[in-house]
Order: sequence, then structure tokens, then C-alpha cells
Amino acid sequence: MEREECYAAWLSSVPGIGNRTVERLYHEFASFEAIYRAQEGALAKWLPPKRLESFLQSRKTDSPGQIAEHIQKRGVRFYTKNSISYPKRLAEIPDAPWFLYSIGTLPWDDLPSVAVIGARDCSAYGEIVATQLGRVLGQCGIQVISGMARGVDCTAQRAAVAVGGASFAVLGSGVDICYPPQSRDLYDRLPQKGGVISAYPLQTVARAQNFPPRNRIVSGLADAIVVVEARERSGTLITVDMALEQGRDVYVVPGRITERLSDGCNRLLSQGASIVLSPEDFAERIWEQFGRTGLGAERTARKGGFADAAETVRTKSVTEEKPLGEGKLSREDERIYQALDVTPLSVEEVAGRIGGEEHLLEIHMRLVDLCSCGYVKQVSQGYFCRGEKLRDSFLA
Amino acid sequence: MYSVITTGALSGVQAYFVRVEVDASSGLPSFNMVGLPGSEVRESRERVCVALKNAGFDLPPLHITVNLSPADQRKAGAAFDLPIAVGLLEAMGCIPPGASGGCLFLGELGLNGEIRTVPGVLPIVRWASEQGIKQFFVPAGNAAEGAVIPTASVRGVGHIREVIAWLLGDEEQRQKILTPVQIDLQQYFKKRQKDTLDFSQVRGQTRAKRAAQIAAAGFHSMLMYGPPGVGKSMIASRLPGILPPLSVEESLEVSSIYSAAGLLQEPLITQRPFQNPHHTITDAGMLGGGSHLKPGIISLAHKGVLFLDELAEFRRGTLDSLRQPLEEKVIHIDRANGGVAYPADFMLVCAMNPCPCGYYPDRNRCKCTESMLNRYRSKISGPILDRIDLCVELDRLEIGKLQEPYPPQESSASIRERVLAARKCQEERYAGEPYHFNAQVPAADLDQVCRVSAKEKELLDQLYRKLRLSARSYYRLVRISRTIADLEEARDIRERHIREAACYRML
Repeated sequence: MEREECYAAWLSSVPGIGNRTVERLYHEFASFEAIYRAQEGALAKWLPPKRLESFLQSRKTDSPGQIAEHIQKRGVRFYTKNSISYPKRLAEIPDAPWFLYSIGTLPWDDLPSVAVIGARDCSAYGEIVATQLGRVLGQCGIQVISGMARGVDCTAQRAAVAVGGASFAVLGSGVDICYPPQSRDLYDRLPQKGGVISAYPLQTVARAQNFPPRNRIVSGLADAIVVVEARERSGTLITVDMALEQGRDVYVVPGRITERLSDGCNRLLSQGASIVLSPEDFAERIWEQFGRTGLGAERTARKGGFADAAETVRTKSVTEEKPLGEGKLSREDERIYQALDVTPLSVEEVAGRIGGEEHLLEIHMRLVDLCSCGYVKQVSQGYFCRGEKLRDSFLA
Repeated sequence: MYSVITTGALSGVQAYFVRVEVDASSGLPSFNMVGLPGSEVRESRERVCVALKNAGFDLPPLHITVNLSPADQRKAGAAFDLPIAVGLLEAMGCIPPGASGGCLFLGELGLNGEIRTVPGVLPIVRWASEQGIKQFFVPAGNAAEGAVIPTASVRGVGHIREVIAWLLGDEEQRQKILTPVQIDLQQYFKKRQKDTLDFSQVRGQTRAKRAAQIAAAGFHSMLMYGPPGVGKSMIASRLPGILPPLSVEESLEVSSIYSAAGLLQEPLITQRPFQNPHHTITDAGMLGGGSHLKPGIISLAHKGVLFLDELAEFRRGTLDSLRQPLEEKVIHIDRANGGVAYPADFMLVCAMNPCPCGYYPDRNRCKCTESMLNRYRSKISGPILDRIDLCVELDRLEIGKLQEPYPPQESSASIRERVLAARKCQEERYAGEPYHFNAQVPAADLDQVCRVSAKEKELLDQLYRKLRLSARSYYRLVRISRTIADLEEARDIRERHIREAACYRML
């Protein structure tokens, strides 16, 4: 770590010093070393008494060198807004974080990136769409940014990681703390191609107030955000507002009007958000958009990018679909499969859709059979929906 | 003078003789009681004295000592009143010595001399009769339960005067005073009232009914998932009706427990018990115990059904304590001053909502978060879920369905026939084994007794891999497949049996 960065890391670790305060201090002293070495009198002008006290205390007890060493020892990288590799997209947003910690890398500026967000308690439909989006984005080289939360976030990221795509999680805790703990597998795998990012110093625990700024970074790191499922008046919609403030494109996955989990999405659509027609279409539009903007245009010129990428999308999606559609189902199984939906149905409901001729038990047995081939997913005791392994080209 | 009267007491449901020794001699007037009497036994002194006075026997000032032997067993209950009174009369010389020989007395005295009912008459009479006692004097209210023992001559007494008159009278007079109560067991069993609960009253829910039938056939434990009001309790309460009828031996066993608990309303229990405790039940209420040892709910459900509604609301400790009785079919309650064992061979049936609000997985109505769901389910995870074989969810019936005319549903009687046939298959298969039902077959013997052919083996393997079963749930699948095959009286487990069994898997 460079000398200046060591001082920055130290400043980042001072409790009570937020992004705005850093902004003010840096503006006044022009370097982190100068801030560290500033006279108490000079600082008093910029820091209220309590923060000043905490600042002085830290200066007494913690040395910048030690803090920097500690960060490095943990395999964590540290960036300031001045670092060369600080993401350009993020630098553009108002009140961009001064400091970033990461395990793995930060999103690359010369590749498009998309934030996939949505409800934590998503439906089976949300899970399917998030998986498909993550998979397609990962396959065609679009970076997937999200918060590693339950539901849509981690589903999309897992799918992207599974196909070898780059994905980045922005945390509301320090990067050395895996929050939520259920996403441990993702946390461990993300750094292979992407990274885990946080604006908070190591060992920070996840607090409710850390999440709104975290959401700003999620949308700040992305060219566009896509909302998979959101209830009316949900946290996801707040993130959408932030993204709009930052000038990001907002894409929305439409839902049925009978589903409360799609109310927020449909509302956004009525307000003029872009619609996601299919994961492939979405990926193409992202590449297209990226090709026109500054960085993307450079890359397009250099590598012939966009055209290639769009081609990749098509070929990949074709090769991916093929083995899935192959499995031949018997006529009865096919009928049951057709009766199923992406929302969970009980065995009785499935029987009702088929026409009630067949024995309930027979239908239940077939459903369990289909589960074992992956076409059907058992959501809870006795409730079934279509599985992630889709027949035909679903959504297309 | 000294006298000995025989009576009986219970340790758990096991009876033992208590010899009431009374000595009345001149000396400083006193009334002492020894032999570990509990406080209610010690109070019997007052009841006996006043009752005898009111029956016309004035007690002269005497030095009276009563000993309850064996002296190291703690005695509880008011059933010693009558034997103490009789012993006292004999010790005072009011009754000829030896008149009470070969008789067993039981009963609580009222101050006016009347004799009130006491718990435990049936097991005491049953055991004492096996030990050779012929004559029994029990409270009139308990006479019928004692009378079901054919070898015992049981007299129900309403007042202490009747007992005294009998003891003083000669053979002829005795016949007139008290005649033994007689109940013909075979007749009684034939006459037993019909169950008012019948499966034909349950509309729809065919899969749950089917699961209930499988559970009944193989003695499997069962869990029903479903929102409130769809018929979980209805199905559970009808389960005893499709189990094989209680045999006389079983009935005596069950009735003894109820008698010990003081809950026996009729001479014998002829229907399989059904117990559904509220979820606030304490450990002592569930397992038995308490300061006065009483059988718990699990023992009252012996040979019947224990239904735990709102399973997730039960305290975890209470549920976990069911583990040992579920395995051993008996509950041991150990105390500093000795332990008792109550039989507890019951069929476990549970019901719960799929989530705290009851609507999961309908995401439009259910707003329970995943952590709420996990917390709700984790309350019953582990040991108890491991012991549940069948899991079935109930359909939320639409109101329209209830109003429509409905085809007649299969009755309990016809379901029971199939259950009986399946049980017969098991009886033959497990003759000479320590276990009797498919649910009890240990994993080690499973390959031996539930043989499957290559094709079925392949299907099992496929399910094992694809549904990511644990070893335990794999064996459970085999056991249930076996029961389903037994219901059809099929010799071998077929593919469709296994496929159906997979439907009752717990997620």
C-alpha cells in the first residue's frame, strides 16, 4: 500500500468519521497524510468536539502502518477515490464513497455491469427469473452487482458465478464478515472472478443504517439496474429511486397483476421503466447501450466488442437451451407439466387444472417423479411449481 | 388386641399388597400411624374415628397404633380409610377375629360413614385376584370396574355399616346384605357403543385420509400440514376408529391406567384412546409424575392415538422428552424414593400450520420471511421430526366445495378392514421377532424382511440420489412402501408402492 493510502486506511478506521466528513477534511488539507498530521486547532474547525475526540484518540492508539498491514494481511485490498482502479462509474455519483475495501477485485470499467435487485422473500417465479438473468448475464460477460442478500440477490449471483461469470457483492458490513451468513458459499466463491466490496472498515458489523449507503454503491457500480420482484413500498423501490438519482437505467421484470410481489415492478413499468422481455434481450440491450457510451465505445473499437458479445449471447443461449428441452416426457407427465405454473400449486389444484379425471395420488406420484428429473420443484409440503430446468423456451 | 387387614396400593400401574396392622391396647389414649403415610393417609385418622362414631361405634380411649406394611413404601390416597376402620373394629373386638380373612378392602370414608370412590380399583383387583384373593370390598361407585375380573367376587359397598353387617353375619345373612357384582366381559364387549366419529364425515382430503390409513396399518407416526380449519383434528380424531378394535387384554391394560389416574368413567374402556393435549402442557402432564404420581397424557394414550395439534407451539423440551417413550413404549419416572414405569405405547399424530400465518407458500397472503419460517420449523426440528414417518399436507377447501353435494365417502369400517388385513400380513411376517409393525423394523433387519427386487432397488436408488435423501429417510421410504404393499396384501414391494411412499416424504 502506498504511503498516502495507509493514512487513508487509518482515517477510514476512525469511528464516527463518515464520507461527508472525509470529503470536507480532504478538501481542506488536500492529502490524507496532512489530515493525519494536522494540528488539533486546525481540525477543530472541521470536526465537532465528539468526532475530534475520537480522531485524536485514534491518532494516539492506532498507527496507519499497522492498520495498513492488518488489511493486507487479511488479503483485503483498499482503494481511495484517488486510486487508479477506483471504478469510474462509482466516481461519477454524488457523494461517492471515499474508501473501498474488497476481497477479489472491483468491477472492471471496460465491461458492462448490471445490478440485479429484488425482494428477499421472492416467489418461485422471482427465483427462476433471477437464476436466468444471472446465468445469461454471466455467460455474456456482463458483471452482476448485488448485495448477496437472500432471495433475488443471491440467486442471481449464484447463477452468474455458476457459469463462470463475474459477480460483485456490496456488503453493509466489513468485507471480512459474511452477511447474511447463509450466503457463505457465495461469499467464498465470488472473489475467484469478481469480488466482495464494502465501504466499511474491517470488522464492522452489519447495522440497519449501513444498508441505504450500501444500496447506493450497488446502483453506483452498475450501468443499469434490473428489478426482479418488489412489493409496493419495499426497500427495493428505494434503491430504484437512488439509481434514478444517479442516472442509471432502470429495467423491470414484469409480473402478473394478481401477484403482490410484482406490484412494485408493475408500478415502475407504468411510470416508464424499461421492460425486460427476456434475459437474452436484456443482455443484448445492455451491450448495445454500453457500446454507445464512452468506455464501452473504446472497447468496441479495440476488440470489435459489441457485435461479438451479442453473437455470444445468441449462441450461448441456444447451446444452453438444447439439452434442457431434450428430456422426453410421457403424455401424462407433459399434461401435468403444462398444468403447473411458476407459482406453487397444491396437488389438488393441479388435478383441478387437468380436469379431475385422474386419481390425486397418481398425480402426486407423477409430480414427485418429475421432481427427481428436475422439471418440477417441490416448494413446500405438497406444493409444486415448475423447476429451474425449463422445458421449451420459457419466457421467450 | 391386634388385627391385620389386607388392602392394595399402586406403584405406577403395578399393584402391591399393603397390610394394615392395627393394635389397640390400654394406655395413654392416642392414635398413631406409621409406615410412611402421606398427609392424606395421616388425615384418615379423623375420618375413620368420626365415621365409626356416626355408624354407632363409640371409640373408648385406647392407645391405637396403625402400621401400613411394607413400611418403606410411601403411601398416598384415601383408599386406606376402609381397611383402617375395619382393622380398628377387629382390634377392638367388635368383629370376630378372622372374619376379614381372604378379603381385600378399599375405600375412602365420609364423615357420615359412606364410602366414596377411589382410583386404582381395577389394577389392584386384577393383580390381587391373580395372587389368590377372592373377596373384594370396594366403593359402590368402583364396583363395576372391579367386576370385569371374572375370578374376583367384588362387592360394592355404599356405607361402612354394610361392611360391618356382612362381617358379623353368617353365610345366609351375608347373601342378603351384599351380593357380588357380575359383568360378563364378552357381552360387554359386544355391546360397546358405536363410534360416532366416522371417516365418511370427512369431505375431500383424500390424500390425508389415505396417509392416515397407511399410518394406522403400519403403526407409523404422522404429521399433517395445513392451515387452520381444514380438518386436521377431524382426521386425527377418527384415527382410533380405523385401528383394530381393542382386545380384552389391551382393554384391561388401558383401563388400568385410567383407573390409576382416577379417570375411568365406565367399567372398561373399549375404544382406543385419543388424547389431544393443549400445547401449554407441562412435562409432568405429558409424561406423568407430579407430586402425586399420576400417569401422563402419553400413558393415557396407551394403545391409542396421541394427537399434538399446533406441534410448533409445544415447548421444545416437552417434545424432546417424547423420544424415549416413543422408542421404549414405556416411560420411566425416577424419583429419589424409587421410580415407577407407566406403559406408553401410542401412535403419534401431529398437525401444524405450514408457517406462522398459515398461508405459506401463497406469497400473496403469506408475508412470513424465510427466517420466520425457519424459526417456526426449527422448533420441532431434530429428534422429533426424525421419528415422524409420514408427512402429508391438507388442501385448503374452497367454500364452494363444501356446499356442493358430495359423493358418499368411504366409511371407517371399510377402511378398518384393509388396515386389519395389512396388520395380519405384518403379524405373519414378524412372528418371532421382537417387533410387530413395519414402523418398528430396525434398519439392520430391513434388507432381510422388506426385500425388493432389482427393478425396485433401482428406483429406490434413483430416489435416494435425486431427492437427496438421508439414510434415515431412505429406510423410512422402504418401511412405508412395505406398509402400502401390505394394504394391498401384496407379497413384494412394487414400483408403485415406492412411488406412493415418496409422496409422504418430509421436506
